[in-house]
Amino acid sequence: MRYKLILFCLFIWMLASVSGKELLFPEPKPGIKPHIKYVGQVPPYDYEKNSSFFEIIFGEESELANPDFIGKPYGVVYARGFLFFTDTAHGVIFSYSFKTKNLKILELPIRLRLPMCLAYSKKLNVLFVSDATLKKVFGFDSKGRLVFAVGKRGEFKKPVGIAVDDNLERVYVVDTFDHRVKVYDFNGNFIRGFGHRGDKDGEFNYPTNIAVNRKNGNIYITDTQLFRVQVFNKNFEHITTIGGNGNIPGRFARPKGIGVDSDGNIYVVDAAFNNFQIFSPEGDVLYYIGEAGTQPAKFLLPAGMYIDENDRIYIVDSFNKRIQIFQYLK
Amino acid sequence: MTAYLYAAEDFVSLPVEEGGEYEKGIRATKHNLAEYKGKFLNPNIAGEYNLALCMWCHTQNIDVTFVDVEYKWDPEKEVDKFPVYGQTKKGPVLKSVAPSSMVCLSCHDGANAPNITFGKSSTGTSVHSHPVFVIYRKDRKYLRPYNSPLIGWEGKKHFVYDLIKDYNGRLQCASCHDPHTTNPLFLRSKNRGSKLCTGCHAL
Repeated sequence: MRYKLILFCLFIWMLASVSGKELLFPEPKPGIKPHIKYVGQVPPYDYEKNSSFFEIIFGEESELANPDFIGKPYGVVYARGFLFFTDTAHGVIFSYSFKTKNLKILELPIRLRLPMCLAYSKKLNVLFVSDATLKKVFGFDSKGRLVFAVGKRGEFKKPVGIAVDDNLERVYVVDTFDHRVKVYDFNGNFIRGFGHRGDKDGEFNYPTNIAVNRKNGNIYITDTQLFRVQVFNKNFEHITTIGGNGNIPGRFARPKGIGVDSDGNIYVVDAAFNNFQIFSPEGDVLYYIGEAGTQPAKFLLPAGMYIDENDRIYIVDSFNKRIQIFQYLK
Repeated sequence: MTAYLYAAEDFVSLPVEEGGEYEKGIRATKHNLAEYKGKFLNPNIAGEYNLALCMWCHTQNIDVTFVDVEYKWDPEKEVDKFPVYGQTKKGPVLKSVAPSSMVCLSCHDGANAPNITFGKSSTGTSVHSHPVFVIYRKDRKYLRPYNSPLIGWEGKKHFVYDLIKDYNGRLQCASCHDPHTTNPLFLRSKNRGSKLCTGCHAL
């Protein structure tokens, strides 16, 4: 009879260890302070309530069971209590209200084909979206009216990453197939472009995502097919390069989404590693979060990411059809 | 620093001696992301990079003991390699999706390469580009039995069963495609007279 008691104790311990545990990174230890906390996900899902007995005991993870309501998300942005993310399968933008917990498809005057990345200007209160098939970048106001559009015939080969700098009043567009970043003012006038195909500093090989530092205007670009991240200052001068091909910390295999927090730390999502790595402003490895999986703080083919003014980190977990949210604790 | 190719478990292992054929398939196709104006771009690796064509998918495997890396937020945390393409140290996380399919999807996201979408349609009409990860039902009249030979297919695919024997009987990207081939659409067969389709589909 003794083994039954042992099994029962083991079961209780497992339940206890699964429920109510805060996910902190790094795990708090003497002398080690956690810097990042897992907050939740959109659409919300209760893993404790919904996980079956077998999932808890054997760690079996359900797969390919998600509904097709959300197809294949890529880009994400937060604005005024709403989380917006693109769905590249259905060609729509979803909006999620943190207040009402309502998830719906944005109604727009333009039928998007392949919406990729999103950006938000607080100054203009405009949501920007890049469409890689229409080869245009649009801006919509809070009522859904079209207020910004760039991308004349032949202007973009494939616009993907976009970012807004409210202080300098610039819109950055990463043209992946032109290996170039194109800069516009808030009226849609072309200011300048920088970069071309190559492997030197300031050159790109299929760059995709972009982020802007709100404090100093630095520009962070994932140079996806050269497995690196390049940092530029607001005058487009190259500052540093992080990465290189390899399966160890500080290197990348498929870098995608990028973000920067209020301390200037750089976050880079890697779709092959199923994690995101965190770097100091100088490019030193600080930590990484994530591995392949379907549970909280695990990823499958993560894509775009965004960090808001309050250091909330939003990461698109495309195969798991969700946006995972973390908080930078400083 | 020792560097060798990291190949996912069921990945087509790359014979270096016979590499000519594979090299042609990569070099002459859109899967050549390395070459620009007749020169190979340096993927920022130490030493020689004659494997530059391969490295775009077969991520360079680096021995951590030779590299001086630590996590500044937790210097005592053990530095280890990152498992790639949907795998953990224990193996693939999903039982229905091969790591090799994850390789394809990691680039085919709409940004770097054409978007591959899949899934169960919730509306009736599917918006998805590929019927990948569907179950091959051998009992269906219009599908050939498992032991049907695949004639003229490239790679280690001799029978229908070879396409779906792992991963819960679900079709993978590599069931129909081989990224190393020069065939149109990277198909495993030239598909003349719909030969690729009729490998599985009975008329």
